[in-house]
Amino acid sequence: MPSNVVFERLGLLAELTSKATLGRTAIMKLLFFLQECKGVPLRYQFSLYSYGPFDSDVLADISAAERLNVLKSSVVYYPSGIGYEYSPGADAKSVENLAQDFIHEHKENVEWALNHFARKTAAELEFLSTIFFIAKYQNPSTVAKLVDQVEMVKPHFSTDHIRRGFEELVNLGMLRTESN
Amino acid sequence: MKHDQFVCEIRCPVHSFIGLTALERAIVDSPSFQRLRRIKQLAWTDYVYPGTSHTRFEHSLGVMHLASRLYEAVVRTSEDTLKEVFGYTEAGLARDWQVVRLAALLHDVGHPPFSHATESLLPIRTPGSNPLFPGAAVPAERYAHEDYSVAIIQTLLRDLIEEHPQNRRNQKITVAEVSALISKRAASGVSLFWKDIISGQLDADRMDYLLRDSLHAGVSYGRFDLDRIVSSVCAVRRPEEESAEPKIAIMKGGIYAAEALIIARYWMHKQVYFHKTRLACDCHLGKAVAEILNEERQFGNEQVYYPGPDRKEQLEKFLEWDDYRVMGLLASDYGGEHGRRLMSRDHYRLVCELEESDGTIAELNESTERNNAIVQELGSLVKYDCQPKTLWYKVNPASELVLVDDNGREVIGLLSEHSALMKSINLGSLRFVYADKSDAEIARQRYKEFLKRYKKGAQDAV
Repeated sequence: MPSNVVFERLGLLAELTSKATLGRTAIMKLLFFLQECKGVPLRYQFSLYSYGPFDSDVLADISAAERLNVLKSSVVYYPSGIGYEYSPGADAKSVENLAQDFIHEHKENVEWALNHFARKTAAELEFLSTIFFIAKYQNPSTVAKLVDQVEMVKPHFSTDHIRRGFEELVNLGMLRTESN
Repeated sequence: MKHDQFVCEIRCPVHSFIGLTALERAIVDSPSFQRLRRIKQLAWTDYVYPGTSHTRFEHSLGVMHLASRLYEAVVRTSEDTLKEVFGYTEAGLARDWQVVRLAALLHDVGHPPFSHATESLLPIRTPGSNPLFPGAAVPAERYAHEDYSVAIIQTLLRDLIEEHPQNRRNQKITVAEVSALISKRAASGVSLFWKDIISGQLDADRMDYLLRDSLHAGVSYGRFDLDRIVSSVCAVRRPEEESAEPKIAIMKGGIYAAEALIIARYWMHKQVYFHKTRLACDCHLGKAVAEILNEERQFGNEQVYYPGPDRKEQLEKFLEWDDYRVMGLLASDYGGEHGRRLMSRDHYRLVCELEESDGTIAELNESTERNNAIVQELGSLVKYDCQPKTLWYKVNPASELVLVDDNGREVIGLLSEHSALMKSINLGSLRFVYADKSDAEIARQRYKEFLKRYKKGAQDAV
């Protein structure tokens, strides 16, 4: 992989976490939306799992970013175990400088992703990204078919809930109904 | 969990006896699956490690066997969680056992000749439109072997699977469900949770190929404590703030076995998969097969690439390609210059192996620039500039495994955080630069002179 892609990915991680403290799920799904909806060329290959679109390269990048002091993690204690939150590390600025053209080019997209998704819970992000993934790649011909397909992956969500999720993505201009 | 009975067994050099159900036996007997006997697992690696002439056939059987061991282990350790979250019954668990085994058995059925070595000759898909997505739904990207596996399952094997008496009468498994565990894009099926053990951070595919490739190569690097890993896997519910869905995780007692697995992958990449001669042969093989496909085109075939997976007749043409056919054409001198090089062992020679530093951003940047300058300095002597996807990205996804307590209930962190060993491995990427055999010494000399100047320049700067 050309190294400029490495710097661009790391630079984007630094940029995202400089604007909001993010957990691992949030980083995964924000990068997914940036690439798959806004066309930011990150060269990830997301695949659908029960917990939504996922590429282990994203985790590897987070891990690499920590080693290189681009990100720093803090452990968060929850009742059922621990999680991680990420903020910029000591070397975040260095990599942002190396990737400044790329970050500048996609500045508006980054703001869009942060504004709409950074404050959502992990469950919401997994849910919305699953709807988006299926709508884009499974090519359902109608909303009803989309709802059926999402229900198969996320059986504990009701039809109404899935429809509302779909409408939220339509309102954001990420998807469209059959008629428009 | 009472699953279907095995009707026969096949002796495997890694896992001993591998049982097959009636449905699996029918699939193994099909022409699409038998073709895997003629697709070598590691392409031309037997030029370096003569024992590595094993095929995707035995690997696929091994992955199925391992996937079902992992499945049964997760059911054993986490049955309550599975029943609570997914509403599984005993019958449902037995049914999905078969779904997972079929996906594992068929995950590689779409490999082109010589496995990954000629994957770059799969065609580019045509972007399509989509009624619900405002844009090109499917990007113009190259097909992967998984796309072919899914296409073979959904067209050529559909009747065999869905109409098989065992399945039609009892489980009613659909090819869509099996495909969903293999495809990057397919989603249908309620069994998606199990995708992690087909293609995940701790999957049966990687575990089998490490053990198998290691055995056939005659090296010990790929070995690890498989039994300990199998006994340590579980399904865990992560904190809601992290994820709403359960995930395959590893219990604390398995941490050393998981470390050994990661080290095994690291060593196998360094010693076998990234062996200098193997990489050179992959390069020649890709170019030789491209030459062959180009020749084929002159006889009426429109495709420069392998036939695509979208139409049945094309898919059947694709399946006519196997290692035997390519070898025959190479022996008949259809492979051009690169075919000749392969047949006469006149492969490119390594000039230098360039490593990137992963110490700091500044060091990483400096080493990248230095490596670019080296390649530039060598100029036209460079015949092949090989940059495998950086080690960060593919070798160690298991280091990000979720670690749980030995009851399999509480998340205690990530393996990478709890393992001092993981933190000490240099994961910088590698770059291999090759020249013609006749130019190799000159190129190496030029490389050494560059390094001398570079070091002197660095010292002067200090």
